This record gives sequence, structure tokens and C-alpha cells, in this order.
Amino acid sequence: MMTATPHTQPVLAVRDLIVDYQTRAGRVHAVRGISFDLYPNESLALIGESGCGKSTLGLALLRLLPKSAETRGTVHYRFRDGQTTDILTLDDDATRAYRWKECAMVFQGALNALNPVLRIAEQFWDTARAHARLSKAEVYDRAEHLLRLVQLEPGRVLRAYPHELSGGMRQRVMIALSLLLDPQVIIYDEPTTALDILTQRAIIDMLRQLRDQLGFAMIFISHDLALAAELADRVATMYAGKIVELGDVREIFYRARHPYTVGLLKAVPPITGDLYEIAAIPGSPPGLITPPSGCSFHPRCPYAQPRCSQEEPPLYHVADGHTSACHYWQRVTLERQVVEHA
Amino acid sequence: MTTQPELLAMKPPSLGHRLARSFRLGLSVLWQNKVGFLGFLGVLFFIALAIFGPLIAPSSGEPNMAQIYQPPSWSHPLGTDYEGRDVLTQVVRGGRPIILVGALAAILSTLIAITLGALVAYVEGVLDSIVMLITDVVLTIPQLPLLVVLAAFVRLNRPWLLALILALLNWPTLLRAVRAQVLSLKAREYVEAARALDLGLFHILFREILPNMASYILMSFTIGMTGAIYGQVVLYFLGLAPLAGDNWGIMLNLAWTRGAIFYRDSMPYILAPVIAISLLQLSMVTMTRSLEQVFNPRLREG
Amino acid sequence: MPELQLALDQVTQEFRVGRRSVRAVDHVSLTIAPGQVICLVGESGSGKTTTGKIAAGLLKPTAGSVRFGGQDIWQLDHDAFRRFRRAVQIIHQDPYASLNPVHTVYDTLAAPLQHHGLTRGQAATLRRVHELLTLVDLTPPENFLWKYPHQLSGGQRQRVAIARALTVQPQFIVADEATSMVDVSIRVSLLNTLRRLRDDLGVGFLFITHDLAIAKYFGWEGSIAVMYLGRVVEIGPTPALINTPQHPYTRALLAAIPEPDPDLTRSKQKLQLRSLDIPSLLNIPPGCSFHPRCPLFEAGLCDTIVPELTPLDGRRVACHIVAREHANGHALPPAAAGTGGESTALSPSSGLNPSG
Repeated sequence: MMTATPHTQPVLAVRDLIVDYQTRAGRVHAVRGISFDLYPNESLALIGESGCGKSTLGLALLRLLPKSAETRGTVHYRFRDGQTTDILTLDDDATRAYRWKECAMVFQGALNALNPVLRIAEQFWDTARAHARLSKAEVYDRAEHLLRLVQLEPGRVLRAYPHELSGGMRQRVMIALSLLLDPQVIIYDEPTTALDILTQRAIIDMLRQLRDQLGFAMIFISHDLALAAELADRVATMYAGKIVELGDVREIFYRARHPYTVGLLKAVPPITGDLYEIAAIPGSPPGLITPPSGCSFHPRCPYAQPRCSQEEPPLYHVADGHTSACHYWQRVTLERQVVEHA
Repeated sequence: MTTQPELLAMKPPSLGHRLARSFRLGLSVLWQNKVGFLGFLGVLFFIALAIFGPLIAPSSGEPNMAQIYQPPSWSHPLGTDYEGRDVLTQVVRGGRPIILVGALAAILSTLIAITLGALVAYVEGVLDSIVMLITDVVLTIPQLPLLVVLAAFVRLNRPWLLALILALLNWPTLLRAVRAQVLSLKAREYVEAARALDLGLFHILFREILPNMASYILMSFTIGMTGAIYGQVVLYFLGLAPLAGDNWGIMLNLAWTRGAIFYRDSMPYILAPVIAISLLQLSMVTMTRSLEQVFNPRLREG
Repeated sequence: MPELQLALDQVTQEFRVGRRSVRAVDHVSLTIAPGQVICLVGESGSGKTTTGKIAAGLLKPTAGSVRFGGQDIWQLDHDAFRRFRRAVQIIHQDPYASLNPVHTVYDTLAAPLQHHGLTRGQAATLRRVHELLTLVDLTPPENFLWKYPHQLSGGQRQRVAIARALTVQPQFIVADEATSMVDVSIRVSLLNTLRRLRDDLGVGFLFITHDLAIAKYFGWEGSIAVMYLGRVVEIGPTPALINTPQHPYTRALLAAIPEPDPDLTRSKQKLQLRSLDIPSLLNIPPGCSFHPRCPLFEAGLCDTIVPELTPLDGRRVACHIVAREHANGHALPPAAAGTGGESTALSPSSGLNPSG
């Protein structure tokens, strides 16, 4: 697991990404200025609840947003040969070559993203054909290899239709599909939602193993903090279309410095060990047509001051590689009340 | 905290208020879909025609054998018929019987379909099996011969009799559709909650399930009405219904039997009722299709 | 007061699928006292939702009995059954399906009040609806009275569903994954609302969830029953089950749950199962239904005889091996949270079967 050194260049550099949708109710500001870097072989978790814009962000990085969406900002991608390009400026052909070959995505609800009338082998062939020039033999060879990596029996699975496989198995097939053209970056949108506990565990362990073996960079989008604790090298928490805190996984979990991150942590205590008091975050997430003024979290924030409703906080430097978008981050602490010891 | 007098001053929106709200919602949806709005205007027009037509044109005039099958002119914009009477007057007068009987038949078949369909879907069991058997049998009987046979036995001199006959042909299809929809809604969580709250069969059917089927009910009515109108045309055309008075169906029959098809000048006499009926059907269908958006939010654009 | 208990006694539910029958619930027994919480925990296919519907009287079991205050509810006369119906209410998982879309919040809450004559006249109804909304923290109530479900958020809808359940003053509430489809930050406040109902109104809960962490918090003073393929495999006080689980399935579950704590979760000892295949309900394995995956499996015993729930160590466990070891005086050491090192004393398997 490589961490960023002064000499590594990021494989994805996102700067000031903005995505707006025009809907009948108004203009939705789904992503409101996001910047981050993704280094080779690193795993970045984007954690947020519904409506924070994380899925939109994932789709934007693959240019899969509908025509009605307006995207601004830059997303610099670095090819293996060192060349970089802003993928938001690519034409259709170049985008198709970028998608899946350089950057792949496993969608939310991937369980149902497989074509029900095609056998699995055909899905591999279809995907390969759409983005690269490979022979059928090459594709099937690679498919067999990948299916073994995700702990499925190629003989049995390649011949099957999606409905003949269990939910967990289909999720693995989707993951194998994402690796088909050996991308540098894979984006997972809610990889374990709707899966049972034991199946989820198997998928988590498998993802970790795959990353160790194949060395791709991973962005995973989820509302599940525990997933980040398992798999992430760095964590970014998102709220109302912006990143509110970003840092190394241990920094975030043990030394969080943004009230929203702290709120999330307090709402999801560990299962083993002491019984902690759980605390709710009052209020509800804001609509993205007219987000609150200043810091969008201020209506729900226990640390809020008058300045918070007027001035939008930038990402302040907290520690090495740890930033927090809170004017009063120094006052923010994570303290859990123990109700009963285990 | 609200005080007692403030609380008492709050009243739930009355039924009238809610109907007005639905009406306004319906109008705005129709306005967005231009074709649907045209359909709505068409329906309004025909309703007005049905009500006021015979009042504006009280009589189609006396036969004037000197003016048989005159081509369109200023005094007779649609020409004259086989007896020299004005066609336009007959068209204006001729909508009411057709529309009235059609609406009556539609109401009857929709009522049967809803009450019976909802009941058997909710209760299931033996009753469901019996009713579905009867429905399937009636469905498989050829409509036209059945219509002819019924007409032969029943003297169709009263509008409501005619409506009844037509309704009897329509209800099976509607009942199946209603039943399928109720079966699906029965499994919804809010229906299960109503059962847990012990709200009773009547409440569950009529206050929980049926209000969610408004679009189905509307579609049932529209299909019933278009079917009934075509049924009338067939009956009149075949001479199975009494040829007294003015209505579009009778006009078609007379145009056929009195040889209007042999004269080029008498084209309006044939075409007028045909176009009138087609326009009526078209208006109803387009209006209903856009109204579906009111009831099914997922069909709305944006 | 034993009089007011809700008890399921050897309840079994079979469904017909084509020509075969599926046993969704297999001889389940539970007792809930007023003000008490029993969490029903399991993965999909465990039968927990079906059990919940049976407990609420919405489904008649194919065998076994449901007793309320000692009486079999399916033998009650019409009026008594209707009284039972009102005594046990249900809250569903999906906030988008639990409310009737054409009814306002007021309509939804007024209907049961007026139908059962619990309030007379519009003024009284309005007052009571107002009270109920305040009880579930939908304040100020005036803002919610005339709204339609599509104008409310998921958390707000769930609160309306809770208020609806409270209209008939139930003694028990079956909460079927009531917090699963709601955002994390809202989930906690919903749980706190339910907790208050339990403490202040003395409502008993059958709390169905797949999330053991939620079960731990909501049911800390109550019990947890773990279900697998229709059977209860372990049942006992929550602290005991969470801290010292005995049944291999319970241990596997607890070990598999990711923790929101990087050091803890990455060093947590996972339980190796013999197979990743999840059996379908159409083909329940003979004997102990967990045996194809169980690391303690013993041929000849576990695949032939169905284990009974045996009391040991303050709870009841349905496992031949655990019962035998306990009778011999060998207690299994606590599993899960360790700081790495050797795997637990449960004999490790031959590794993961790659056909999962």
C-alpha cells in the first residue's frame, strides 16, 4: 500500500469541480467546487449521506452524467506513460477509450446492472468490444483469470445468466468486469449496500486482496463509515456538494476536526466493546437548489457561530495531509460517552 | 405552542377544497401537454354540443324533396340529406343521444368493474374464482354476434336499455384490469398498516385502495365510453336500433340505405357523422392520456 | 404482568412455491413483555419479517400458536380478535411505501381515531393528532398536518408511521427494519423516539433488523434472537450475546461486521466459514441448517439431527457441539475483537471454498 511521497504524481487531480442540473424545480447544485488528488495504488473513501452529491461526483469522473448536467472545473488524468490530460475536454472517441480502460466504475445497484438476457461471457465480450480492440480469445482468457481472482469458478460462471447467480456472485462479476481492461482507477459506488453481512465481509476482504495484488487506485463512495475504516487509506467526508474534511484514515477516525464528521462518528459506534451513547445530528440534510448561506452545515452544527452563516469556510490545514472546512476546527473534538463497559 | 382557540380554528381542507386542488392540478398538467389540452377542449366542445345542440337547432326542418342531396352552400353548409333536410342541423342535434347513451353505458360498466373487481381481488378465494370464470366466458363470446342477438330480443327504444346492453359487453375487460391493479395495491405497506389498524374492508377498499386507482378508473370510463359509442354506431348501422329521431348513428344508417354513397354531392352527409364521432373519440383519448400524468407522478416530465 | 405478554409458541410458516413448500419460519418461540425489547436479527431469508407479521396477527401460522395475554389469538371471537389487532401494530421498512400517497398526514392519523371512536368530533380529533405528532417529534405539528407524503423526508414519514401506530394505543409494536432505509444521522433520532415510547408509554417492541449494532443499542436492556433459515439459533440477553456469542453463526456475524474504527476493524479476527454458498429456502440442509458452513461441523451429527435450543451460560443456543462442550465443562473462549495473533479456538476450516 503506497502512500503519497513527494515524488509521486497523482493519477487523478480534480480541481474546483462543479456540477449543476437544471430541473423543473430549479437549478440543482449537486457538486459545488470539489478538489482532491488520487495517488496511484491508493484507496480514497468518499463518505456522505443521501443528497450530498457523491454519486454525481463519481459519474462526473467518468463523464457519465446526462446531457442536462453542466460540468465545470478540471479533472487531470495521468496515463501510464506520464502524459496528462483534462478528461472533461476529451471528445467522444477519446472518452470511450478513457472509460473502462483507464478508469472503470462499479455502479450502485450493480446487482441489477447486468443484462439479463446475456450470459456472463457475452457481457465480458460486449464490454471489451465497446472500449478496446481485443480478440475474443484474449477477452475470455482475461475473464477467466479475473473470475478466479474474485473467487468464482470461471467454468460455471461464464456460462450462466445473471439470474442464476446469487447477489454476492453478481457483485463479484461486476468487480471482475471493472478490472477487464486493467484500469488505473476504479470507482465503486456503494459496493456493499444491499448485501448480507457475511457476503459483505467476503466482498470487503476480496477488494482488499485485489488491491494488494493488482495495485490499482480505488475511489469508493459510500454512506457507510465502517467500510472506510476497513478499506480506505484516506477519507473525505462530503456534505451538500462539498468536501468538508479530508485526511488519512486514522486522522479522520481518531482526530476528526469537522462537526459533521464528528456527528457521523458519534452516530455509528463500534459493535464490539463498550456501549457508547449515540448522538443524533439535529435537522436534516439541505436541498441543493438553495443551500444554506456560508457554511452549509451551520443550521445543524453545535459549534456554530455568527461567522458560520456568513462566510463559507475554506479547507483549513489541520495537520499533514489533513484539512477541515470549519472556521472553528480547533474546538471540535470527538468524545464519546460510555454508557456501560463491555 | 398553539393555544386552544388557534387549534380549533384550524380545519382540515374540505372536500370541495380538495377537489378544486385536483382540478387545478389537472388543468396545469393538461396545459403542459398541448395535445392533451386540445383533447380537453374537444371534450368540452362535445359536452356543450350534447347539452345545447338540440336547443340551438330545435328541429331539422321539414322534408323538401326538391332539395335532395344538395352540395354544400351558404344556406346548407354541409349540404342536405335524402329528404332535403339540412345536414349541419342534424349533426348539431345528433350528438346528444349518442353521447348520453355512451356516458351512461360507461358509468354502468365502470361501476360493475370497480365494485366487483375490487371486491374479488381483495377477498380472493372461491368468489374470485367464480367471478373470473364468468368474466372469461363472457370475454370469449364474440361481441358483434352477441350484440346482434341481444338487440333482437330486447326492444331498444329506451336509452337506458341500450346503455345496459352496451355496458354488458364492456365490463369483463375493465374488471380484469381493476382486479389486477387491486391485487397489486393490496400488497402495499400502507394497506397492511390499515389492516393492522383494523380499519375494515369498506375503508380499505374505498378509502385506501380505490383512491390510488384514479387513473385506472378514468381509463376504464374512457374505454367504456369509446366502446359504447362504437357499439351504438354498429347497432344503428345494422338497423338493430330504432331509427327515430336524429343522431349520428341513424345518419350513417340512412346515408347507407338511402344511397348517399352513390352521389358525390352527398359526401358531407356520410362524412359528417363519421368525422364527428372520430373527433369525439380522439378528444377523449388524448385528454385521458395526458391526465394519466396527474395520477402517476412518474410520467411527468422533468 | 404475565397477563399482557405476547408469545409465539413453536410457530411455523410454510409457503407454497409451485409444487414445493418453503418453510420460512420453523418452530420459533418468543415472549415479549410490555416495555420489553426483543431484537430479531438475521440476514435475508432468515424468516424474521415473516415472524414479525405473524406476531402482529397479519399472517396465520401453519402450525404453532400466537398468544396474547395467555389466549390463542386465532381462537378468539371476532371482537376479541379485533381488540388484539389494535394491541399490536407494525412499522414498515420503506418510508416511501408505508404511507398512502393520496392522504395527508391528518387523514392518515384521523382515520383510525375516528373509525374506532377514540375521538368524537373534529376538534377532539385535531387535538389528538396534534398530540401524537408532538409525541413523535414532528414539531411544530401545524407544519405537518396538511402535508402529503411526497412532501416529507424519509425520516419524517417514518415518524408519521409511528404516530399512526400509536393512534390505537398499542401494547406492542413490531418494527420491521424501521430504520434501515433512513440516513445515518436521522436513524439515531428515530431510535431515540422509539426508546422514549418504550420507556414512557411502556410499549413492548419486536425489533427486526439485520444490523447488529442497532440491535445492540436499542435492545441493550432486552434480548436478541438470532435467526438462520427460519430457526432461532441463539437467544438471550443482549450484553451476553454481543460480548460472548456462543453459536458459530452469531460469532461469524459479529466477527464479520466492519467497525468504524480502522485499527479495531483491521485487526479483528474473522471467523472462517467452510463455504460461501448461501442455501436457498427451497433446499434447507438436513439436520442443523448451518452445517455446510459451520467450522464446528461434525459429520453424522450435525447433518442428521436438528439441534434444540439448550440453555447455557445465561442464554439458549441451538448447537450440538457447543452444548456438548459446555456440558463437559469446556467453555469456548470469547471470539472477535482481539489484537491479531492466532485465530480463535474454533478449529479453522480448510479455507474458503472458491465456488462461492
